[in-house]
Amino acid sequence: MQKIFLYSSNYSPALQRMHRYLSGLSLKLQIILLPPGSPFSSPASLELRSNDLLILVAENDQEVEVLLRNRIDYEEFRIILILAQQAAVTSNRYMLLSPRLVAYLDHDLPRVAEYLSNICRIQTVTRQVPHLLRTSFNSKGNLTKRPH
Amino acid sequence: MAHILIVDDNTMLCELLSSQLRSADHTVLSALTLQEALQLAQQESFDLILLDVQLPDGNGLDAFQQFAQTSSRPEIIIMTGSGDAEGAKKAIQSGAWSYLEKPNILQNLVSPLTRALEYREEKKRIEQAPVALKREGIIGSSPVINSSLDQVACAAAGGANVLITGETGTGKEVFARAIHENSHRGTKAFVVVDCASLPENLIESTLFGHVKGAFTGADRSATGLIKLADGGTLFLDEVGELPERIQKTFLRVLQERSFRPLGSTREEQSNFRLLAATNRDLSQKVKDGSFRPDLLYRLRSLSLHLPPLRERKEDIRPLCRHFLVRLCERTQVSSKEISDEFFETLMDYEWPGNVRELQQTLEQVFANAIHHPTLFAYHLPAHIRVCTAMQGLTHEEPPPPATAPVSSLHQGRPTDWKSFKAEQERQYLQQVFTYTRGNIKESCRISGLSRARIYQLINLHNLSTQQKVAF
Ligand SMILES: Nc1ncnc2c1ncn2[C@@H]1O[C@H](COP(=O)(O)OP(=O)(O)OP(=O)(O)O)[C@@H](O)[C@H]1O
Ligand SMILES: [Mg+2]
Repeated sequence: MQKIFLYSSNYSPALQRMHRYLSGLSLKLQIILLPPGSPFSSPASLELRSNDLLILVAENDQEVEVLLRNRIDYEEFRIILILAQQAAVTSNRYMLLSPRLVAYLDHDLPRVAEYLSNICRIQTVTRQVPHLLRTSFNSKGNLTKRPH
Repeated sequence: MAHILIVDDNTMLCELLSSQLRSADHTVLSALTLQEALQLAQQESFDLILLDVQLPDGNGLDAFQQFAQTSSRPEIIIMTGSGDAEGAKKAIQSGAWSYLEKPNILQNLVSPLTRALEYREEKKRIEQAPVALKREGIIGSSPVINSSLDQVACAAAGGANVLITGETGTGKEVFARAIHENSHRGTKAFVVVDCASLPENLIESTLFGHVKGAFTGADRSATGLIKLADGGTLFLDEVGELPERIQKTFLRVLQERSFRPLGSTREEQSNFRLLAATNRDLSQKVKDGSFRPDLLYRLRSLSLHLPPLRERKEDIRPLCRHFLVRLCERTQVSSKEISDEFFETLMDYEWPGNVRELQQTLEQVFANAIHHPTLFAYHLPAHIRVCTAMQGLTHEEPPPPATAPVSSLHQGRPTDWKSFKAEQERQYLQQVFTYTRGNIKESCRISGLSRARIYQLINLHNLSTQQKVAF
């Protein structure tokens, strides 16, 4: 099960919507919601490991700035940044968070699903190794049948 | 002003080119044969060589590497009499700046010449750069890390592309950030392109952006990462995984410094600095035909190789303290003591997953020992403690045969050597799979074992899915 962590500086409608969206995906994900406003204050944060996937949600420029203030705390994680809507975020400063994927909540979520399902696929495939000894993997870890 | 060598058997062309280049303040020598040219290249320090292909005593392309490797490492532009696609490809793949046809050489030379010389100037500046570095977040003072930091300082002072290599978890991204932060682009974005995790169909639109209607589902336009990196740094993480089709498009971006969003007819500009990282052997991938040699050549203007943690074990102690302090601060837990035997145990282990594995181990230890004021070796995972136990064994007589389970090393009678070894192998594999979360590709990379061998061992030790992905 792939763990992903979800965080925003506020318990905003955007965060709630993202949480619902992730929970609705038919992927093998364990979604861990970190307490809005203080990500490291709950026992859930003890499950965070360097290189884990961390989804940050920001409703607007102000929330981006709040995230930026603590960006050093997020550096060791792989960040996916979800912005509420294109209109609410006017500057590109969110790129200072060095996200691996940026998506807009109002129209872009299928890309997030694709990204996550790719990550899960890489993992799921390799997890089932014993059944797949007659198959091989391409360079991205995807399963390909060997020609007979 | 550059020092230039023209290699061509056509005396008239040599004179024409020489006079044009001299009028642009360059110093110029010419040679009519390969032999003469090679001799000159060895005696003088050329910045640039204009090299003909068909020469009386051989083919210029065949001698390319000999010129490229002379002590001044000149930039090389190939000239030829007739269009020859194969020759052009070969020239560019060998690292030539450009491939020009002679009939139009006087007009077409200016742009590649200027770019090649600018690039060379940049390289020189880097080599002379003073070494003073912001290194927050980079811990360690082993000689190898200090020398890597010197290279970071040099790279940060210039603008050349840098390829960072090293095993998984050695800090490639951390060093890439340090180059960015110490460069004049440091306040701008450090844009990461995750070549390994982005699905192939997303990479293109993510990199280049797209216009509305460019493909099904593109109901608005979107800015790509290349544009978002304008003024800053573009970091191609795991560049070895970049699909071949995109390698080609990206090479063009590097050459032209412009790109076209999907579905757009307009070229756009972006002024970014390129850094790339990989834990793959890209030269091998070039040999296999899965990575473009010309792209590798462009990426590797400078290269930085990060040593594995086992070759700088003196860094373990400060790294460990650093991670622990961060964890305590982050979770607002009072600081913890670390016992000497804890460190000693860390030192006995080989850290196949390098700094990341050390960090994740501490995160795990911290979570388990959150209420303990001091960390002891027994807080560490068994596979790490076992190494210390094994070190003790190596100086002793071979153990007598026994049948007791090997995991009870501290509990009485040891087992026979063969079962002991088998158990170690099983534990090691479990540890690798836990670390990579069952990812075979990663496991091969970390362990250095082939895929076939890993499968063999999985069968041999009857490892179940559960065991492999146990978190
Ligand atoms: N010298 C260092 N000082 C402090 N932290 C470090 C150092 N080197 C690595 N780290 C930490 O170790 C972790 C792994 O580093 P990084 O992500 O840069 O490695 P990598 O070489 O890119 O790994 P991979 O090949 O798996 O992507 C990061 O969380 C980073 O903060
Ligand atoms: Mg990395």
